[in-house]
Amino acid sequence: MNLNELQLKTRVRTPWQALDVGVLMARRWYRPMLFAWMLPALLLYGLLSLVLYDSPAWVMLGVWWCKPLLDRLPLLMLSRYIFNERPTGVFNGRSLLRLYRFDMFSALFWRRADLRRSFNLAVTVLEQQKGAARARRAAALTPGSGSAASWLTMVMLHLEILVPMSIVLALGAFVGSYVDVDPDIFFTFDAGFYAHISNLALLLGMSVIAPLYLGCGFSLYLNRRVELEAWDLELLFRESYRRRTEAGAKAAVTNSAKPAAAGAANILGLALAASIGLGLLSPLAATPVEASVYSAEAAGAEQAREEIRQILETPPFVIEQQVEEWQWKDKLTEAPEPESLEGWEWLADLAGWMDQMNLGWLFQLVEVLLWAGVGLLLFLLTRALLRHLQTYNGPEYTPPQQTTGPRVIMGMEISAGSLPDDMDAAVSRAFEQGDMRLALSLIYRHILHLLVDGRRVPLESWYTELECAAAVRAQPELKVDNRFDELTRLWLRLAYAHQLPERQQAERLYRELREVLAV
Amino acid sequence: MPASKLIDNQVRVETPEGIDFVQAAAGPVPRILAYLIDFGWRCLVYMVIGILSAFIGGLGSGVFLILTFLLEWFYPVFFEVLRKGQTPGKKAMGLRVVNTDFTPIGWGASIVRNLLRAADFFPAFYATGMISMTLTGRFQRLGDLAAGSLVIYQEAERPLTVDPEIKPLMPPVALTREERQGIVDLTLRSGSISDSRQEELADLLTPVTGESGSAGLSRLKGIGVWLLGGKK
Repeated sequence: MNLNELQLKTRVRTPWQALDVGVLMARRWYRPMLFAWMLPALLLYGLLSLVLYDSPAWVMLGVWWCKPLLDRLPLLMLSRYIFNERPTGVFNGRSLLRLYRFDMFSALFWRRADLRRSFNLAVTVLEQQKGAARARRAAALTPGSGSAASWLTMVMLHLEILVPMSIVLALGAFVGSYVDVDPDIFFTFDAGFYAHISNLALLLGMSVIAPLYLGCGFSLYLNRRVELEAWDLELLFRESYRRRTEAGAKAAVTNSAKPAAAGAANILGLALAASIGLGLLSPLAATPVEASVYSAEAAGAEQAREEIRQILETPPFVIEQQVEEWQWKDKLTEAPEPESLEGWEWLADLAGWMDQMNLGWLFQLVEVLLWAGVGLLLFLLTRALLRHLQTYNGPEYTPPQQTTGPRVIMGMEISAGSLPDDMDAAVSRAFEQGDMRLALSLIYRHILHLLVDGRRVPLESWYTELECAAAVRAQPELKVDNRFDELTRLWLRLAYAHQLPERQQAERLYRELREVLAV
Repeated sequence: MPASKLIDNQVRVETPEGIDFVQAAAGPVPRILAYLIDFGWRCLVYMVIGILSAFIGGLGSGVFLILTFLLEWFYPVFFEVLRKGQTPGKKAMGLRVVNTDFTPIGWGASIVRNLLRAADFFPAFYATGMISMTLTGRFQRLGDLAAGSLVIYQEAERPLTVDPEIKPLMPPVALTREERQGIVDLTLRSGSISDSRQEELADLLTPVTGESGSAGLSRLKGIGVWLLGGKK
């Protein structure tokens, strides 16, 4: 089994969704599975009829009882198809005998009533487990999927019976009431020939449903294995491994001056050998053949991408046209065909008559009246608009809320309470002590305080220094010119670049700004 | 055998913006069970109405007939349009009816798909509907085809529970989206996959983790937790 060939999109699905996928699987390989079920069943029916022709009910019961065996061949075939193989090795006498004989008695006796039959069948047929090992394996697979498997059997069991009934009813519907069919003949089991016909109808029902039943059960089983063994992740990780090692190999090739092909093959081979070593237990083991397939695939993808690009650059995707003069977008290319005048001759006659009567004055009058009407309409509209505007007071006025400026900007307290009462003394003391940072921060904070609380500049606590400066610049009525910018620059240089400002310049700026901003 | 499309039960709808919406279409078995649940509820209501109307006599049987008619034809319509596409049975099975572009189903489409039950029922027991469901790739019966509707699975939230012992680890190399999803999947599903198998899987990603064996696996799980948002 080769996971790369799996014809199923691997994903962990809910059990119900797994059943749906089973229907899709049965649909794709319906005909071979149908025949693989129906032909052995017919054969068995024939054999039993030879012995028990006079009691058709027993024959049918016999075939029905052997369903677990009949289910085996289609399941085996499906398990080959799903990995994109042909089930050719199955159809020889010995392997068929082995298939049917394996664990036959327990399947036919104490496990005949197994409600999860199609789900558990894969353990018997594909994993070749029996006895306690089979029971353990089934128990490991059951959690989560068991109830769906049982419901599947319940539903399919009823569908099997409904198929022949629907066929009979459909026939009845098509025949109509002309032929009087006694419906009892299909249910009376000892009516000889009729009973055999009804048996064959039942057999048809079973064969029609069997691929669906087996497909759903097998899909449920596969889903459980995908979940437990993470097939989806294996495919994904293997792809990623291939990509990464290939990329690594390429890099190695470009870096080294050795013969490129040999180096790449070596590295690739080593990587693949490692992957085989790691993947001993894994169901998928990459081989050198696969490696070449991979690289061919990659090359093909590259080529395809190039081709796609080329196609996308040619018409009809790209239409190039050189236009050197202005032209109307919707130029009329051909004159509209004159409409047929059929039935409107009287209008033409009328027009001709009017021409003769020389009625130009009448048309002028109508024109004047029309223009007057347009004018009147405009006047009325304008008046209505004006009235509307007079009564309209504009959008509802809401007085702006008294906003209090932020208390903190850039993590610095700027409220009046946080600043010393005697600013000048504090600043000059800081300068005397040589603590430029303290001095300038006091100055900067005081100016911010004046801007926010005194002049109501809309600064926000999350603004940066430059955003504050921009907000101040946006209000030229403050008349700070570019002094605040200058102060900001001084502060930024000190705070972040540790460049000390000149005391005179700082004090001058402070003085001037305070004068300008004083309320 | 020629390579063909992989079997999948998902339906994709692409928006003009190029965004794919993906849903899983619901097939015959869950829908049959949902129908049976609905049928059970309806039978219960019929019985109650029948018993009540038996007391009124002739008028009662008239009322009974009218109510059963309405219930039989408009029970699914009512629930599908007003209860987000879910009749009680569909809700129990986690199914929903939607338009083929996954928009909620409206009155017109719902009425069409439910009136056509008569066609799907022919000749008995929804045989035509079953055949139609099996043959169309998206499990639509005739009513669904006419109404442009689809039965999908209600998406269930997957619980994100990881072992708090695992220390988050930043991925040492850039990962593709599929790889990220796969690693997260492995981390979340580690409870249901055997340890040796997990190590085997982790060994495939040695180019990412740089280690093999259990060390590689634990690094991979660390990356998974990191991708899930654990940043300690």
